[in-house]
Amino acid sequence: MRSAVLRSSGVLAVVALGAWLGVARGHAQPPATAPAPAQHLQGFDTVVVNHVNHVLGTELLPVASGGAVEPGIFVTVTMDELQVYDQPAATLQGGRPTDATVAPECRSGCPAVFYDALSRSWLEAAVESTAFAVEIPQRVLLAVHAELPARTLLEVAYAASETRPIQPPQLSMLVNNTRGGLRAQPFFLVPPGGLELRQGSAVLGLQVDISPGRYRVSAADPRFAREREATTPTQLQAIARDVKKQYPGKESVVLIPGEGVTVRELMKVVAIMHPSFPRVVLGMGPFIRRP
Amino acid sequence: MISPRSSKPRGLAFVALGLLLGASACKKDPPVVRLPDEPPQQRAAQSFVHCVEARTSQCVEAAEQLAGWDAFYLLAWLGGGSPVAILTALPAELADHADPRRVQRRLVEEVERYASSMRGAECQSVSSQPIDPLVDQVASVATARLQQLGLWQGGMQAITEGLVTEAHESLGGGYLVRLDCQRDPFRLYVATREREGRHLVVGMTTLLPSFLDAEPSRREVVEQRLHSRPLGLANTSVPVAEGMVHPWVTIPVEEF
Repeated sequence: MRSAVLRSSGVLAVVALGAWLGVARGHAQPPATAPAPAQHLQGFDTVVVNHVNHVLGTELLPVASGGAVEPGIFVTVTMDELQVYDQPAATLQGGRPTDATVAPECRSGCPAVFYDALSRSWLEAAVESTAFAVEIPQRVLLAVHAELPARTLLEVAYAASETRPIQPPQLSMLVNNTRGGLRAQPFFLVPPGGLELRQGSAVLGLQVDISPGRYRVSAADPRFAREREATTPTQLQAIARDVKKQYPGKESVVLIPGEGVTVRELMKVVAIMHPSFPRVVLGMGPFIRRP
Repeated sequence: MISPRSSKPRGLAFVALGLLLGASACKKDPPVVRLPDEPPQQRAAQSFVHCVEARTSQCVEAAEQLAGWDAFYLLAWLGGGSPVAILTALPAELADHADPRRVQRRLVEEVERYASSMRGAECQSVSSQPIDPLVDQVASVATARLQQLGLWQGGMQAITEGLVTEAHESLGGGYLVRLDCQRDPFRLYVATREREGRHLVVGMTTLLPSFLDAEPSRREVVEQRLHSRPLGLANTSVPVAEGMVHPWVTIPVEEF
């Protein structure tokens, strides 16, 4: 029986290798016109599309331009469930966690159910990296329902960032671009507790506070003229262009979605700001700390 | 004929004997070493842990005993592991699986990784379950999952069926024993199989996919493991990115 087992192992591996190469070849190649992704894993796009279609539907993702989809841990948030990869990890109701108890360990104040789910995922990734020839993923890709409260998106993103060992991951949100393709919109998070700016630093720190139908634009730089408000996307676009003229070297904007703001509305602001300020930082409160 | 000199020592001897008997009557019964009142597979798992604590990888069985556990572990990985890792590493892992020496090497490395932690962890077996139904469960979960993710093509059926057959043949009648520990790694899963009346340990892991793990680890346990030495995560710090706003915001300061 021993030899039979060993023989079957050998046959199995040969079949498997051939089979797996077949799987890889079977996946559609990205169109020649698409920009080359920084890191491409053959088959990953297919897995993500299949999964998102199964639990959410790609048509329910927010719309934005985005960049290439790169491999990483993918987290899906529907209005009633959080999944890490395809594993159910927390229950939601109307896009908010049914148990909102905050994890004391979470410096940003994220719910314990999100913190525990993401911690467990990083542990699984760490154990996996010791057992198999892989590394702990550096990216987290969030596929979320467009009507999800933006606060939920941020809490999940903070939970993923605060629990990853060594350093926070690179974050992206899965979006539908205007031509219907699946893309990834990268974003950063304001560190928990905010950023401490040194006196005289050359930081502008442009910030947009978003509430439903209203945008308040301010900046950390005391030389920034004054706070400005907009109530329409067109007005916000005009403000963004004005600021860009004054600060042509600046590329970043901090977006603070308030109560009642959905991911769809948040991504609209990302799209408005993108031509002038393509680097997006998201946060849940004031982001500047003065020493 | 008996001289008084000779009768005196005899009297002393009686006194001494009486004292000795009296003393022995006060002594507790000598300790009786009893085997733990546990099923044999749990005793085998516990012995394996003691062996690892003393001699690390010398406790790992011969290579030809281990293919079944390797097949089971690969199936569990397909059922609950990261799809990114599966896409990245499956061909190489299957190639390793075909080589008994590499299969043995994999378990030796796992045992050596945790040996020093296990020495002070006070691991105790708490339960065991037959492994045959688990093989069928992981196979069923893996199959459904690979189909749903779009990876059930190009011979994946042959791969999973081959792994299931191998796991049943090699682990059939065996058990998966759970040991809980006071310290890192906090939990061990040890696979045993019976051959000629002897229970052998043929596999070990510290974590199983959540669909097999009815009792997830507490938050403090996960936190500690995420900073543990065996996982290579102890004493690590965030690399400082020069000229960036913050390790969380890796944007050049001048663009912020």
